[in-house]
Amino acid sequence: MWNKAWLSIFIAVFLFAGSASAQSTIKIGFGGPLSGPQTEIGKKALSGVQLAAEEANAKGGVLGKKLEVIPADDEGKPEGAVNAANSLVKKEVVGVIGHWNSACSFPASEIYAEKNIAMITYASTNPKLTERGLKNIFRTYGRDDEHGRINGEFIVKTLKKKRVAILHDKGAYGKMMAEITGQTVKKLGGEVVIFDGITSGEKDFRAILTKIKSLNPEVLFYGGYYSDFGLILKQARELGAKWDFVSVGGTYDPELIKIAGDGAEGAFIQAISLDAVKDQPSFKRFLQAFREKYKNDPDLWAAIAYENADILISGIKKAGSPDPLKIVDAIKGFKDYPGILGPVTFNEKGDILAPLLSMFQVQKGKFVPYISGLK
Amino acid sequence: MRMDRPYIKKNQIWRTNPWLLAVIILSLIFPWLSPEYYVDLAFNVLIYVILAESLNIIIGFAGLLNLGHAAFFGVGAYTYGILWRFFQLPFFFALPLSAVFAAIMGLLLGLPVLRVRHDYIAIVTLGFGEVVKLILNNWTDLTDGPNGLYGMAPPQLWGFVLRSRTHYYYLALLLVYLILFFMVRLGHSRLGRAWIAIREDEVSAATLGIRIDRLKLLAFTVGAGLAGVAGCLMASKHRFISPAGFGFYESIIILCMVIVGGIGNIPGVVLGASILYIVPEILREFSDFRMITVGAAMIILMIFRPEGILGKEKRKMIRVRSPYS
Amino acid sequence: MNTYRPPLFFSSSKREMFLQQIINGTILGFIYSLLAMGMTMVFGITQVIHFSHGEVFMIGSFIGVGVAVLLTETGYLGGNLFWVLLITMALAMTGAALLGILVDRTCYRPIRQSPRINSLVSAIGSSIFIQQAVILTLGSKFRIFPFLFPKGEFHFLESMVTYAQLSIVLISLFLMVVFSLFLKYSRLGKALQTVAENQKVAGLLGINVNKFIALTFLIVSAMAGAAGVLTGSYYGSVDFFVGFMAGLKAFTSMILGGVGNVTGAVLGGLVIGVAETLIGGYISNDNKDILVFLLLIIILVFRPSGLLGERVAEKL
Repeated sequence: MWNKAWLSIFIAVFLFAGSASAQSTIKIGFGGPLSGPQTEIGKKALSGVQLAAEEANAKGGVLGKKLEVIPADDEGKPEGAVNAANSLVKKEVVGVIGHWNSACSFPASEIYAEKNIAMITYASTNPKLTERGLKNIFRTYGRDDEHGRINGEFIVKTLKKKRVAILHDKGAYGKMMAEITGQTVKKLGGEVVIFDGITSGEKDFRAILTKIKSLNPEVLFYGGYYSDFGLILKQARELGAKWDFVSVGGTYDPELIKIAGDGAEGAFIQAISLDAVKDQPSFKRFLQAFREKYKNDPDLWAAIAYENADILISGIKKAGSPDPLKIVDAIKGFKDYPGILGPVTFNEKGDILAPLLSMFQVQKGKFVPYISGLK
Repeated sequence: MRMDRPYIKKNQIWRTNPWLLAVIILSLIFPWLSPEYYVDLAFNVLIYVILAESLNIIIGFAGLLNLGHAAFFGVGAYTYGILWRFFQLPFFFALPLSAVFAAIMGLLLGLPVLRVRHDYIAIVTLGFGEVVKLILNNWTDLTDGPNGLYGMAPPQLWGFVLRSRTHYYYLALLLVYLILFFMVRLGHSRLGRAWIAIREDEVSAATLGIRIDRLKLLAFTVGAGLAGVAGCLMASKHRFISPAGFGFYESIIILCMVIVGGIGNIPGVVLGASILYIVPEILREFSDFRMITVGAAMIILMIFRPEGILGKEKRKMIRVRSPYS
Repeated sequence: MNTYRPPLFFSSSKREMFLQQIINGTILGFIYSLLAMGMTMVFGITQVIHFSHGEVFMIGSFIGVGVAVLLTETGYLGGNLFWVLLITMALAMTGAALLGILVDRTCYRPIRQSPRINSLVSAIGSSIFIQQAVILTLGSKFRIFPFLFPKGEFHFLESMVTYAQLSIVLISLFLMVVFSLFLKYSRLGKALQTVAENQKVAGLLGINVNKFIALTFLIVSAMAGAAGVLTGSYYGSVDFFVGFMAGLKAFTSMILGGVGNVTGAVLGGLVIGVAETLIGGYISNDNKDILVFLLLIIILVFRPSGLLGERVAEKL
């Protein structure tokens, strides 16, 4: 009997405390991979969001209250994303910065849409995400079909090469990039000599590379991430390949060069990069603040997530209320919002106009901008 | 409800387990007591209960270690997804079809399993699971590959649309009760006893005239079909499926649910599924440690309590000449 | 870092590609064989599929990368790659051997007398546990493994074999031969065979069965550790996932060759390596794994005991 009484009191206090705290902060959610193979990315992105929140709190918070960041781990999987989204909605967040994988953003966005909660994704590039008529989705990274088109044009028009071999890692991102690049190449009169997939995580790609070598392409395009591409570059050079290599944002990482060694020299990689904005004053301020707080440099995801959080916070201020729907409208209405990576305007679908794309080339072991401001 | 004592009179169930009535009543009024988030959670738990029990048929009744069970889950989900994508087939038509297709896959897996040595079953089923996932990923014309399928409409029954979480919960609950009832009856039936005989001592079972091959195939077929049901149900609620959700890790988690609950133990597996779903959800901050705990649990359980949480018989005795030893 | 000079001419003849693919596949095959041998040996003695063998291999790579990086960066041993490779392998093999014995002692030995399905589950659990432990302690990033082989390649018949590949073949063959000789001619080896043959009788003869099983784990894990170093240096990078993939290939090779049959495992490894490469190169790299799996099933349908037959003790 006694135990039950204490238990009831404890629960009552707990619930009361819980509801009390709910009213005293404005909560924003973060969705991303905080466990599993992409943990590093998720954590970096989260650190960007937390920095933005901290800065806002230092200036007095938002709507007179402190900002609280609620992280939710989607494990990089769709089921995880559903659980993460549900837990964020339950905690009554007014906006979400998330997610990373398109496969996670898809189901999560529907859950947020039920409550009109804004979702600003910092990395999901699947075109279909914004084609479903959901009003609450925003993205600042750009879309695969745009990136693919740009890649294809780069290969045919800039590099002036016609015979292209295409590989992908069978994942949603890599395969879509490969497909769209391939379609663009064909449309512009080029030839796709082979279109095949590799299993991510396998180490040995000599079988397919030897085959490609026998087909004599001029360019190898790869859709996927740096861990596999690094090995592909390395083994291709070992086999004596003389092709140009072109790839996409997922491979833009210093680890790529470490893994590939000399094989990375001359490879072209299309990415959004911080190097293009490093002289902007707003970016420099962000860089300094990040370094002070975390004692190392931000990566791309931290920067984009920070910018997204910044947009969300301003959206809340502009809306003047924690009503998610008003926040969505406020964000939609931004014109040339001064983000740290450049001016931000969203179209009706929620896609960013004029994303910041550049083509880089690996020279002497470093990424060097080759062409900036690709459209 | 022990599987090795099939002869229990019906009214004894209520006498030996009076709390069962309380559980049933609680499950029926649950949605009115809890906020939405918990109803969602309960729905997911029910899905996994179906999955774990379906694996329980294959491992628990027939004694075949299946490491690729998530494949059947995926086939069921994708049957609905594909039928929706091309034909806009409504849920209640897709549900039996999902079960059928998954059952066919079970049959397909069962065939090579029969031919190989008992120890290989684990590897063959493992390979099968990976291959199915790969096919779902690569057969883009059918499945849209890694992008996944989405947008399946909610189930409709004569015009009544199941849209809310509560509706889904009751649908799942209904299916779970049907399946549990089915499994209990199965366990008591001649078929169930024949399966147990195969599990315990295949050679002796054969001498008794039990058609080993047919019954093993049947176990796979039925287990797979039920998993397909779970898949269809999950697909309609989450409205998004992709091959990534049906891989090795999922198969292992379902296996662990069966082990924790006790192989062959029907209520145990319900408990095992609930624990293995709810505990990681509560401990979200420790999600880094989820899989390592699963691994450790598997080892520790096998050493200290192989009969599972609710198991009563000790499986530590030496068995003679059985595939289990 | 390594630089490779591409071959002098760039031929696209079909024969060259075929030969090159055979070479590619053979190298892979040797690595699979090394692992499959170990796995089959364990199965022959304990009738348990040692699921965590792949993870032991992975740990071997990790120890190797740590040692190799340390040695090459501090310039100890004057950068003499031969000694660096030797010491790296020795340390990795030791570490892997210890891990293997530990796994046996904690996950298999306590339940040796239990139904086999229990051991199988425990084995799977140990595999997951080790993999996750590595992720939690060492992170999920790739480690770069220094290149420890002689550089360069030689050409023949329009194909190319690098000295690295040659080294792998030679070292693997060396390990395999030593292992076989040990089994056949040494006292310990013969006792091992007795234990494999019939545990009860071996026990009656005064052989400490558990000790010999531990010895088996020591040997096969050391071989896995060696394979880990070879693989790590050859590909240049090491990550936590290689264990899973390598383990899968090792099981397949073991089953293909016939469980318990060491020669079968070697053959199985080579067959899988070459088949995988040829299928990837000629049919479809996308669907390569599906086709290899189908190949396995087909072979098992016609020869359920594997290519060279099984060698497993029947427990009486």
